[in-house]
Amino acid sequence: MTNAQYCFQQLYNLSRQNKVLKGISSLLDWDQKTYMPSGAAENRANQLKILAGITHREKTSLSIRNLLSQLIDLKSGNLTAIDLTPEQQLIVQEWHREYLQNSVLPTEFVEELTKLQSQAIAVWHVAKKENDFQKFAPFLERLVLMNRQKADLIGYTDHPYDALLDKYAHGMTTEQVTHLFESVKNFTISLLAKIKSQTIVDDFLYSSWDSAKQMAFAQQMLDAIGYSQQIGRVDFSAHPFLAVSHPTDSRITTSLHEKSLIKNLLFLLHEAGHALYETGLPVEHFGTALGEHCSIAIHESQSKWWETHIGLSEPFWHHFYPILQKSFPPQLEKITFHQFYQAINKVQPSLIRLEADEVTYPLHVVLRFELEKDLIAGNIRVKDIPESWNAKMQQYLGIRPKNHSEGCLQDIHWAMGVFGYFPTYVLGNVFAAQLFSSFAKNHPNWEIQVAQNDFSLIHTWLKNKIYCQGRRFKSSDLIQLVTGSELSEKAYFDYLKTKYSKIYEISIK
Amino acid sequence: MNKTQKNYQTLHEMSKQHSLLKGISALLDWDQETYMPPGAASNRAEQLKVMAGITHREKTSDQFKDALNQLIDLKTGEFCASDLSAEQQASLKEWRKDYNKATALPSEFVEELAQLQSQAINAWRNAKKENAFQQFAPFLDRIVEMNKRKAEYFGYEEHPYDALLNEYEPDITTKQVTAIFSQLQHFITPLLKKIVTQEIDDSFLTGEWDHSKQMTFAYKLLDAMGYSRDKGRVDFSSHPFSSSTHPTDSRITTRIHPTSLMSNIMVILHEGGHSLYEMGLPVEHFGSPLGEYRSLGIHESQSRWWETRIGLSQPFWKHYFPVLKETFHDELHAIKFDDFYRAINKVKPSLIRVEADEMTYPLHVILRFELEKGLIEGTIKVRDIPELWNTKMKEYIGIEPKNNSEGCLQDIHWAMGAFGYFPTYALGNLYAAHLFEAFAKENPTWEKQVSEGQLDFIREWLQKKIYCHGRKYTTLQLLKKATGQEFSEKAYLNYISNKYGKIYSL
Repeated sequence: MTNAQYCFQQLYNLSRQNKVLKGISSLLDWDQKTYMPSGAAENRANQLKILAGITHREKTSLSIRNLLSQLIDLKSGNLTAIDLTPEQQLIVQEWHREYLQNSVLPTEFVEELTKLQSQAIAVWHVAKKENDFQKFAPFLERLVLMNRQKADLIGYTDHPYDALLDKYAHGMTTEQVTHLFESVKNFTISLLAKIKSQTIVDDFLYSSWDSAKQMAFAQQMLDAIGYSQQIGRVDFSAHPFLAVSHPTDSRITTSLHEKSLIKNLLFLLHEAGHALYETGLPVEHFGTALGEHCSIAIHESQSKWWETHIGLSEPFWHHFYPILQKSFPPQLEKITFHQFYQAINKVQPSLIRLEADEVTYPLHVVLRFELEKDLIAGNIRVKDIPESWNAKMQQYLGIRPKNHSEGCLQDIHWAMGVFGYFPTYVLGNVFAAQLFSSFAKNHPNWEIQVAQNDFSLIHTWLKNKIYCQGRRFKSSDLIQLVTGSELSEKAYFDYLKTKYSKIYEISIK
Repeated sequence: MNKTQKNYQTLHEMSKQHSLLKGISALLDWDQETYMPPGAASNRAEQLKVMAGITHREKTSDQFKDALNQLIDLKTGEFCASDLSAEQQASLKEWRKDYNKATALPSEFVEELAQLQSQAINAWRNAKKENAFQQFAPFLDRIVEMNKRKAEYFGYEEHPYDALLNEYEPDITTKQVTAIFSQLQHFITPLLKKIVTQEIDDSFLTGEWDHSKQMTFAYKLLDAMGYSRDKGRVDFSSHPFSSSTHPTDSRITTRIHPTSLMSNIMVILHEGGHSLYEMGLPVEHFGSPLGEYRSLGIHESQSRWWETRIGLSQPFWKHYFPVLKETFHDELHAIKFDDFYRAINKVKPSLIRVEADEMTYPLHVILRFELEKGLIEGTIKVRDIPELWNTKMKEYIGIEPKNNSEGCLQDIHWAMGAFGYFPTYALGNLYAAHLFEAFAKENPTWEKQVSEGQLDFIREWLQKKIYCHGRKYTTLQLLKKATGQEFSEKAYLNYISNKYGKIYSL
């Protein structure tokens, strides 16, 4: 074995171990949100802290540095080893990038942040329940401060938020996102103005739905789209999420809505979309960039794909609506397919992001993006968040939360210390639309197949185009490679225009 | 703070990290038994292997060694500082033992064992399901081999099994256990022969019992025992267990038997007893030996205490039988208390250890002890296990399994690589009896109090006598301190002959 191959193998072992540790942290996090006794929060925070510390120490250890420096110039990032395969070269370059990202953060900082996150999550749960922003504010202040410090440590050229965003949407800048989101915001607000006055009846979607029947139906749906119980499972949590530790252990959660049937089903399709991506990653590359998702933004395109392009589509419900009717005869037997399809696609401004319809959803995200960008830049204070939140809600969606639990306390992200994540939700919409239009062009008969409960075409396409690529490319490059055109919001706007002009019988230019 | 105290604190901080890591592995185990998707088994094995490796590295690191060496000489065991409290001295002694034990095993060995265990658990699960000992045998072979090597690494004076037993019950030797068990077996088997001639009707305990009602009743018991639900939880697994990562996170699992009413109740009391011990350990000492359970034998005394001494007692059911009758009115309304009490204490030789009655239970354990001792000393081969198992079942308990699933494949312990563990189950009974005698003397009205539904004072007594001490005393010291008497099996033999003498009018 040459020295380069030896170094590569050593780095691979370390990298794989770190990936395993990450998976363990993910399980601890899953447990915290699903089954952990409430009194154990402090201990869990300590467990997560120590794991974060170990992982960080390992990722920034001298031995990694020494091994890497025998393969690549640490400063310039130019490969120096001559006998690496192209795949290995790519892997080494990603290790190098990760190493630089990690080594700028001191271990104590990472441990501290992890512990703070875990505590903040516990406090956020209480604050949300008691509608008490004051309780959460000191934690949020510390989280903002630490994230700003993190940004400074990582470094940036234009905006401190760039440093945070990069982790979730590698290759995209704050400026690009700001620009794109302005465009999405303007488009959405003008679309909303047109369809606001129209009315669709969706009352029948809001009644009482037996949980066991809901989950039995959901299981059929998950089985059909290929989410296997061999390598995944479904639990309940306050906020639906995906917890992955390996392509063979990719769990999702949902939260049963008191009144709405469709929300739970869409949560599940969304999270299963994420899970399918993870379980579809090449397992032989576990522990290297080739076995990793491309970015969170691409991840989000996968969840949005199943949630909106499939789960809110006519062909999908052509197959599943009769089954749903059979599950809930008293509520649905008199509702026609057309009524049902219109109802699940009803556009109606609402307070909760997770319950928002497809059209208004991006506005919720744009609002959060604007606030967190300003928090990090220091242009806005934590204490002003509730007021700014409410004012923006009024301005963009025309409604105002009555309390913080349905306002600025609704999402867990900030409590998790996650800044720069929210934009990926809308990037996901935009990416998904561009990918889907390419898919549909290649497979004009997709609607017939989906209507026959056959998703094999989609699976093959996603597997060959997205899953198998791991993190070979940056998000925007992957989109371009797969679709043949540059990343743009055009496909997304076209999709909404076509779909909603039909549903609301209006003309949209 | 002076230098010694500072050093002690540093050591405690480092050690706390080890406990946290151990807790993480415990959670991975818990998840594997409860909620993990089946396809994730090999990834879980890798996770456990990585955790075991890291934990081992940390526990044997030079920094930890240096910190320990500042306060106690690792070789001689002499203290290096004069201003240590008695508690701290006790703690350091235990730390030293742990360290010497941990450094006895090379990290590759520890990692290999952890991975093998995880794979073996899976193989065992399938083998049990399909009643195919052959599937499990190669794993058991490797596990026995590794346990032999482990014994060599640890070292021993008399018997290789000593080294393994020492992990779970550090104060007692193979020779002592062999002697106690032989006495027990010779006491119980003849008693059993007299008893099985009498038939008690317990048919009304078998039937279909609504699962959610069973669990409602179970939660009532846990609440009364003082099991905090914000520090624990109950789930289901094929083999019930308790899993604690910290006094604030101490979980148990149970299983609902298809026909037996008492199975779940007994499991809940048993695992609840384990869990109360963990919840009651002094949280300020978390991470030091003073915040850890004494030994598995003592642990088992706590579970058997609640399961048998309380859960099979007359006073307990004076209070709870009416509650149970209310829960299962249709099934139980016509049953008289005396008949119920006799039925739940019915001695009936059975095949499955975890379903055994109080009297035959130790025989199941003795059988396993003899087999695993033989495997370790090399006098028994893995392939002979099924046959030997069945022979001993016949000899000690008088019945024989029809297949290996209800024979030598029934328990998870060997798959977990836990040799030396089984004896603690029977020792737990003996310890519990020894402790209970003192408890009853100190609380002469215990029967009245329990029959009024009070259970808190029991937990408080245990808190004071057992939980709060962590590993401050050795097992035998702890038993003596709690009772004022040297430990012996007498209390247990008295208890059994009195109780069953009455029930069976012998």
